[in-house]
Amino acid sequence: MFYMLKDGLNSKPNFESSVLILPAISVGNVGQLACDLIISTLQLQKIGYFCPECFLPLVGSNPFSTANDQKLSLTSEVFHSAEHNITVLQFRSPLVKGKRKEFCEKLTTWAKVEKFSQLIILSSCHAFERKDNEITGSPFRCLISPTFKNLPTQLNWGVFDKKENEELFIPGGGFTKDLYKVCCDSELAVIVLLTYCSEGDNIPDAMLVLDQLNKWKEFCKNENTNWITPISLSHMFGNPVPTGIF
Amino acid sequence: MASFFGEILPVVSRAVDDDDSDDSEIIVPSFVWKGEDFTNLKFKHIVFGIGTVATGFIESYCLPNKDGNEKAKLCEIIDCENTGSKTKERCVLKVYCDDKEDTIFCTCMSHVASEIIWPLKDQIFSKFQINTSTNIIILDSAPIHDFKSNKDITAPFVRSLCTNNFNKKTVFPMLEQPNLVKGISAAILTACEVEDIPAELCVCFIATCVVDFASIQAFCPLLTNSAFANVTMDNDLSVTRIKSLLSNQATTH
Repeated sequence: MFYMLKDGLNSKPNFESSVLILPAISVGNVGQLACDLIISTLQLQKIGYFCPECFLPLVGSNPFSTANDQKLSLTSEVFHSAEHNITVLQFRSPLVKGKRKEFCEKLTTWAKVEKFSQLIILSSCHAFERKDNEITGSPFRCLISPTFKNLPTQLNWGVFDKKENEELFIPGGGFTKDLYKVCCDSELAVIVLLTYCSEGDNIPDAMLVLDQLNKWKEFCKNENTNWITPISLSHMFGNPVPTGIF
Repeated sequence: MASFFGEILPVVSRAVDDDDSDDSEIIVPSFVWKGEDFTNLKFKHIVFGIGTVATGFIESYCLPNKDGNEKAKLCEIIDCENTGSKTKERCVLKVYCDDKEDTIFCTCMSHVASEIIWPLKDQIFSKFQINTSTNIIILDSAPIHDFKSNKDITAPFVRSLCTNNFNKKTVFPMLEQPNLVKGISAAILTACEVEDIPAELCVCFIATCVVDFASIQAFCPLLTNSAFANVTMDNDLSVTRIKSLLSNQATTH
């Protein structure tokens, strides 16, 4: 489940009362982009890997280093900061088909065992699914579990509407719905922060979500935080035009 | 979704499928091992060649006898019950061994579907004694159009990635961000990283859709690595083998 990094760590960090932030693999990859920006801006330390066998395998070099850093990076990593009291999970590839249930159960078990105080799931939903009566105004929505205390009054985010049959429907949200339900069943304090968006360059969407989150959690004290884009987000739309064609 | 011209287009996402439910059954593939049993033998090095280029390099440069020293193979059992035909097998891994039994060479030429990558990795790791003292090298290839860089680089060229406890000097430059490697080679490297096994992955970026001389020979600087210490260098023999491989390829295409 959780594999601690062998080098550079003397003992396992104490996660108790830490806030666990994780992305849902959802439309526009907004949650994943937001997590990359948090890790990069707050310079969080990588401490291990979480359930890499549930994800399609993917390897690369350190996504947060501009120097020739030899450190390997895997598809599912755990970052932590005692100073900010947060733990951030980052996923870089989709779940293997049929592994969603196993992943949700392992994550909630781990969150319970390690006694995280809150879980924040950063997610997104297809913008074209917005109904006529909600098409104007803020694109941000939230879902809050019954055990979640100290509701963030600063956020002023709308509660995500359920369908007429009271069924939760998050198109493009990936595992958001399943994970939220498993967390509620396990009585974990969880909040899903999601935004309506369309596929494209979604870095601005991720920054807007983080601005909202920062109003609540105040990771960065400045109101207009400059979120640092890591090198891994370069070339998102391919290579520059080859000069040889001119 | 309606486009600018009014026609209805299917909405696709790079992150998620249209169908957000994941109630699909988990496919549990079956494998069968044929040949020698290696579970009680200890090897210093295990070299994996994934794809035609890496397999071509191993077959041309590393094997003392191209046909004679295949020791075992791992086959996936394809259940053809639904189609009414008999159960078939598909070879997913061929296992060779060097003369001094120091190094195991495994080659994989078949396409490995995403849902069987992890079960195949588990099978491979269960068939050999792999621990923190084993040295693993994985060779793979990828198309040049997958390589993202501001520089103009001529293919073929090799880049490498190592586990964090791999403390040897690598002969190839490190794979630059934001490039990534996926597939069975990524699964093997991931398993090595979490289990603290030293491993190196070398990826050859190629510009051709078929194997060529230059792509196979791009791996040659690796021959100085201790995993290939027992390989007898015979350039003429290797060139003859590559020529035979290319001519076979020409007839099959």
